[in-house]
Amino acid sequence: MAALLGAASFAAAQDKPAGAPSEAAQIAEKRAAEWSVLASNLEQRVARLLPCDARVRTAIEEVSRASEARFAALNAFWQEAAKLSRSQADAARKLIVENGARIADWKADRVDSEQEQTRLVAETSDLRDSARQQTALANAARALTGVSQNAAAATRQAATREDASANLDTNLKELITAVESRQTAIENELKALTTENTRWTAYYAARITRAQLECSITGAAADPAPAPRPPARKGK
Amino acid sequence: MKDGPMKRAWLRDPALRLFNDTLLNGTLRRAILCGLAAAALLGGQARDGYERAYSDWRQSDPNLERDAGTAGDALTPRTEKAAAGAASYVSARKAFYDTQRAALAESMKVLEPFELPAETEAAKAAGSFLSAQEASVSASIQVFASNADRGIQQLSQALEKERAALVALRSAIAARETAADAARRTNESAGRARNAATDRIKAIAASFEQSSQDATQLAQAWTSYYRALATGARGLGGAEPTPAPAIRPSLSAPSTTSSAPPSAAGAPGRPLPAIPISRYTGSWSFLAGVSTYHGLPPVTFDVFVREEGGQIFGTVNARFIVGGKADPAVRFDFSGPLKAVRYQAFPLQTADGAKGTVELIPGNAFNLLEVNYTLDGAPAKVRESDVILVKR
Repeated sequence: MAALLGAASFAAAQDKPAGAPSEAAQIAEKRAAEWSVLASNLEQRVARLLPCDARVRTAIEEVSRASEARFAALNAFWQEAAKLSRSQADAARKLIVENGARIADWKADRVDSEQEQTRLVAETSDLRDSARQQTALANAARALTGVSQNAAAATRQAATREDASANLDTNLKELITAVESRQTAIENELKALTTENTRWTAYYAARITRAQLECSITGAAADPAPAPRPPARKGK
Repeated sequence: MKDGPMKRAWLRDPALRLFNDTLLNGTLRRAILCGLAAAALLGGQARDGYERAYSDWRQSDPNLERDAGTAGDALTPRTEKAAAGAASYVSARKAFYDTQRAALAESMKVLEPFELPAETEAAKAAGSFLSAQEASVSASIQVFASNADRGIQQLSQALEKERAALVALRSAIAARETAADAARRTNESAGRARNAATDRIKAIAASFEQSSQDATQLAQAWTSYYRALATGARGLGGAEPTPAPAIRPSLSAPSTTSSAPPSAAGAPGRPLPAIPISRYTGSWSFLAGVSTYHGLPPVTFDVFVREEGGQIFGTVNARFIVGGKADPAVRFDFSGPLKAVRYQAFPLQTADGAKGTVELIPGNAFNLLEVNYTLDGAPAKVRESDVILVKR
């Protein structure tokens, strides 16, 4: 029972889900939210301004900067994931090496258990012979049988562990393969992030160009602080 | 094991071979070996430690059992020495198991799971923003399409570029979503592989934990054995040796014979079990650290058994750690005639009418009882359990 409870606590300690979001995750979430608000409101804000109002460009640049910040934070988050993923692959490779070393120990442990059992069989036989001469040794013989049963159980357990360690080797190799695939996918994601960030930057640049043209077409001089147009006068 | 790996380890160690080959007396050698074994344990070479302890113990008195029939009182100091050797060996072997388990626990730490970024809200915002902008820009382009004004044409070209940027952006977003999906899928796959590996490590660690617990009980069993050996050699029958060796439900070998005498409680004409009735009757409980079980882990498991006129009457009151909506409590009564066998099986019935069977199997020690029950057709109940209980 204690063993199983111990195993349970071991399991509980090791099987915790991914913990609280990392700092990178929190920053990424915050930057995404900031960009989301600015991007959603951009056109509404710009529509209330005269074409040559400096705040038009400022508003677009503000969203563009928020977009850059969002991608920088996302990039940091994914870089962190890539680093953790690489660490896990390295750890799995190290575990395979360690497991190889342990297998030798566990195999020896199994052989030791088997030989201990063999020795117990011989002792039991000797004691049985002695019990023929001294019947009071019956209790000792029963106790030794109990010990033999325990040794047999230990041998079975050692053999099971030896098999399990071979299976663990397979599990770890599969883990490395899976982690390497994930690593490739994360790197692809990082490339895709860079591309998307570039495209957003290009879009905001195009949007600023359009705003500048709208200003030049209307020919109005830039007003450093013009009053916003009332909603009723918006050209809809 | 005298010619086994333990012996080989002993012989291949130059320092130990030197001591073995020189005129060091046994006591001094043993003291040095104990020191070396301790150093090996501290250095993480726990297996070498127990192998040395084993060699030391087994080589000290290989004829102990053979001489037990004739040695009489003279066997006592030899059994004491052997008991000390056995204790050292089992302790060293337990250290080996504990070292292995600790190393596996460390291994687990480097395989902690992690989650990949999820960006659903921002992705939704980007999607709706793009849709709105594409619609607005396209509409403007259409409005200005037939306007020959140079300024408007420039504006129209700028809108075209903006639309192209939006199209490229949509494509980049789709590509990133695809990449992110692939990353998440591969992460799930890596998570499954990680779980398989950690489950395996946990199972091996649990096995070492079990072996460590067994070693604790085995140490007691060897002490008990050597005590019984000394007593028997003196011609004294003595009580049944206690405490018992480690037992597990899976190891409770069925046996229908026993050399133990029947209980005095067995009145003439009454069917007698193969072993004393007291091995079945009384109050029995699950004792953490001593009891073992198969099936769901019990929180409590209390059994009361009494015998009356050759009939056994019993009550089981248990509570388990269960998942979901399963009922953790199990309570049932059982009764039936005592039979002249070691395994006593009885029909049982729960308070809500479920039926089944319960087996009572005396453990390897007088104060242990294995209780194994099965409930038939009792949904949401713990339908089976096999537990070693300790007499209160």
